[in-house]
Order: sequence, then structure tokens, then C-alpha cells
Amino acid sequence: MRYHTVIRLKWFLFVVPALLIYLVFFIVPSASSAFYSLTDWDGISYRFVGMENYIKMFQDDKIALAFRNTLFYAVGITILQNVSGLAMALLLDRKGRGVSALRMFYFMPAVFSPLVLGYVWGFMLEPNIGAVNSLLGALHLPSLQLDWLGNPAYGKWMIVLITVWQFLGYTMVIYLAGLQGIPAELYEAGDIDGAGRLSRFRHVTFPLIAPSFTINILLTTIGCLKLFDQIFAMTRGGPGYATQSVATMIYTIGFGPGGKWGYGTAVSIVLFLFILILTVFQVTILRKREVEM
Amino acid sequence: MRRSSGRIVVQAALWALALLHVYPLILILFSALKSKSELAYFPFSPPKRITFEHFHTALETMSYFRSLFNTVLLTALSVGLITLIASAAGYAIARRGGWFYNGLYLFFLAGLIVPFQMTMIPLYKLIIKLHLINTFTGVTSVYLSLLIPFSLFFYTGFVKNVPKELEEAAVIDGAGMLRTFASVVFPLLKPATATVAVLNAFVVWNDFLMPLLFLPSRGKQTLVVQLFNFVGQYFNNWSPIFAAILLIVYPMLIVYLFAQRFMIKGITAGAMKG
Repeated sequence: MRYHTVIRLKWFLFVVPALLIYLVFFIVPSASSAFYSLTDWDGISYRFVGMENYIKMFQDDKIALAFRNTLFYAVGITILQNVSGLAMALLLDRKGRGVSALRMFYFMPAVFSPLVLGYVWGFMLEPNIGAVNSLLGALHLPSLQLDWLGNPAYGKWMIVLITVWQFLGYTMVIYLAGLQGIPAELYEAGDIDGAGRLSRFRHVTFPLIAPSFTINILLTTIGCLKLFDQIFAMTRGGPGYATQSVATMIYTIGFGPGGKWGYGTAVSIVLFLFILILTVFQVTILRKREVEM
Repeated sequence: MRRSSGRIVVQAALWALALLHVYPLILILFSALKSKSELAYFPFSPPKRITFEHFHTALETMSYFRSLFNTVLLTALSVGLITLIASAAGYAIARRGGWFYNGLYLFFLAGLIVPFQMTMIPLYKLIIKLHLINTFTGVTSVYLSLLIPFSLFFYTGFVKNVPKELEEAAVIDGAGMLRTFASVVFPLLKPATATVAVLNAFVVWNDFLMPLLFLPSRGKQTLVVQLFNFVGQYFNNWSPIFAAILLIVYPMLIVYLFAQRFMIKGITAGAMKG
């Protein structure tokens, strides 16, 4: 063999383990999803049904609801988590013992499993003995004692708020890292120009943390579109199907009673397209903003 | 004057929010140590009389030490292997370049936006077919496939900033490519390895869905799945549930309190480069 070919092969060997595992356990199953979405696969046998699953999906109210819920979770969590995370980062972008303690506290929930903390909140929001309603009772506000998770209108908001509660510290530290990368001279230049606090934020801080902004928005959106554990722990998608996300819905279709695997894969393909379009859209807008500054 | 009173309000709000972040963790401790009747009547005060009875139930029903071992093993296996295979692949991609390796790079990155749900159902079938259901080999392979895109992306970016001179010197000294990688390159990647390891360790340790799907037998389950089954079994019987939650949350809490600087740094480094 020629010397160059040997070298080439040797280099390629470095990629082989990663490539093999990625192909076998990720690419092949993803591609099969596209294939099976055109069949009535039940796990054992299948026959082609063309676009039937997709047509059925668009007439399925439960799926439509799951997509609407997912969008609600994604938009709600992304906005709230980034607004609060950025606000916290701005307030805590200084030195001091109190400041590092606060940062440590805010970040703390992010290291635990969302399922486990979801159970704790499930207890706190329990309508009869939960801490939240007990506190409201003690404050003589009985009209605010609601069925926080049993009523879908509140349940969806609780899923949003508790996810934000858990991960706002994560978003905050990414913004903090961005803020700490801004050279002090730029602020000094702004001070000389007599810039007020607000205009300083608009013209100096915000444009310069654009990379942190991009990554935070993308991380939260992509994470939320796959929201699963929180819902599983707090409402299990209920009451009925009222708080299901697409991710929990695919699980229910695939591994609940009936096992409509062909249908489940079709829903997963649509979820992928949903994420793909949203990501491309966001990256285009956010990158443009990064360049313009 | 007005300015300082505003500052006090902000400070108070910041600490109130911090309390909201800490309180649920305190609630776990309080509730786990109370008797059932005390938890029902005084759900959020400190325990008047401390009892350890619920821990017995939790330890036994969850096969706690077994599940802890399973979780540690699975995390160690996945994190150890991902650093090896992703750094090797990232090294080749960064050093070789060209249409082939750049194409491979994009091919791997595409995995970042494919949701696991899209692979889930056929993957389940595949794992059964390969007789990998209920094996750590199976779940570890699935984790590796899911962790490759990000880890490889991070390593590739890092290698590009590592100067080539040391490798070239090693090659001139007669070291083979594998030797060069193992003894010269991999040690230089230590900061990247730390980040990849910390981030992925969290993913695997806290994960719920993979072990739920691929490790159905009781003896193989991880802590989070054990808790899920426990909650199903002790439905609304909160005292033992809180003991079980404490046994899962507090060891991690202690690790966090000691290693928080390192952990936060690892996590932000991962996001900033990404």
C-alpha cells in the first residue's frame, strides 16, 4: 500500500468509533423513523399506508393540542427565563460575598433531575395540603387557593414557571460570562459621552452580549421543544391530554396501550421539522444581530 | 436617599428569590424527617419530633445502594468513553480538514437538532433486536450516540487552538499516531475534557427516559427511575416519597456545595464555546 493511503487510513481510524456508534444508534433509527412513518407499524409487522399517518395527525385534536402546548411552553419558558436570567446577571455582575452566595443559590436547582424536583413541586402545589395553598390560607387569601396542577389553565403555567425556576440560574451564568467579557473601557467611554443607564445597556451591554443571547435563546428553545420530565412528574400530561407536550405525546403513543408505532414515528418527524424550521429561523435572525453590532 | 431605598428593595427581592430556590430543598429535609400525621397537619414547618422510619422504606423499596451503584457505573462508563471517542474524532477532524472531514463534522453536528423522540421508537426496537435491552452496554451506546454531537463539536473547536508543534516533535521522535495522541494531545485537551465530562455527567446522572425505556428490570434501574416507580407505588404517601427524594437529591447537593465553582465553570464553558 502506498504510504499516503496508510496515513489516511490511520487518521480515519480516529473517527471510526464515534462514527460507528453515531450511525448505528442515532442515524439509522432516525432514518427508519422517516420510513416507518409511512406505514402502520405496530412493532411486529407493517404495511405501507402512504401519507395516511400524516393526514390522520392533522385531524387529531390531541396532537394539535400537544403542538399548541409545546409552542406555549417553548415561547413562555424562553422569554421568561431569558428576561429573568439576564436581569439577575445584570444585578449580580459585581463582586462581594452576598453576590456569590446569591449566584450559588439561583444555580442550585439546575443540577438536579427535573423529574425529582417536579415531584417536590407537585407536593407544594397540592391543593389541600400543599405549601402554596397553606401559605395563601395563612395570608387570608382563600380566593387564591387554586387547584394549581389539576386545572389545565394553571397547570400549563406551573410547568412554565417551575422550569424557569429550575433553570434561570443556568441562563444567568451564561449571561454573566458574557457580561464579564465586556471591556471596562467601553463603559468608561459611555460615561464620558454622558450615557444614562438605560442607553448604556442598549448601546453597550446588549450588543456586546449578543453571543450569550444567541446561545441562551437556542438552548432554551431546543430544550423546551423536548420538554418531558417536568410534565411527567407534575401532571403526567393531564388532566386528560390537557398539558401534554409533543414529547410526552410521542411516548404515550409509542409506549402506552395500543403501541401505534407507525403513527408515533410520524409525529416525531413533524416534531423534528418543527425544531428544524424554528432553529434555522432563530439562527438566521440572531446571527444577523451579532454581525450588525 | 431614594436611591438607597430602591437598592434595599432590590436586595430584598434578590434574597426572596434565593429563598424560593432553597426552600424546596429544605422542605425535602423537613418532610422526610416528620411523621406522617405531622406532615399532614404542618406541611411546611420544621419537624417537632424527628423520625427515620421512612428511610427504611425508601432504602429497601428503591434498592437504594444497588441503584446508586447502577447510576454511578452508567455515568462513569458513558462519560469515560465519550471523552475518548469524541476527543479522538475531534482531533482527526480538526487536524485533517478538507471536504471529507468537514463534511463528517457537519454530519455529526446535524445530531444537535434531531430530537431524541425521532429516534426513540425504532431505537427501542433495535435495542431489543440486538439483545441489548436491560444491559448497560445498550444504554451506554445510546448515551454515546446522543452525546457525540456536542462533545465532538467542543473538542474540535478546542483542538484547533492547540499548537501543532508538540505533536510534530513527537512524530519526529518516532512516536506513532496513536502514541502521539494518547501521550501528547489528549493531556493538552484537559480543559475541554473537564467541560465535556461535567456537562455529560449531569445529563446521564439525571436522565429519566433512557433507563426507563432500556433498563426495565428492577436490578438494573437508576435512582431517578426507581423514584418514578416508588412514587407510583406510594401514590400520595408523601412521607416515604420525601425520604426517597432526599436520598437522591442530598448526595448531589453536597457534591454541588463543594464543587460548585468547578461545575458552574464547566457548564458555562460548554455553552460559551457552543
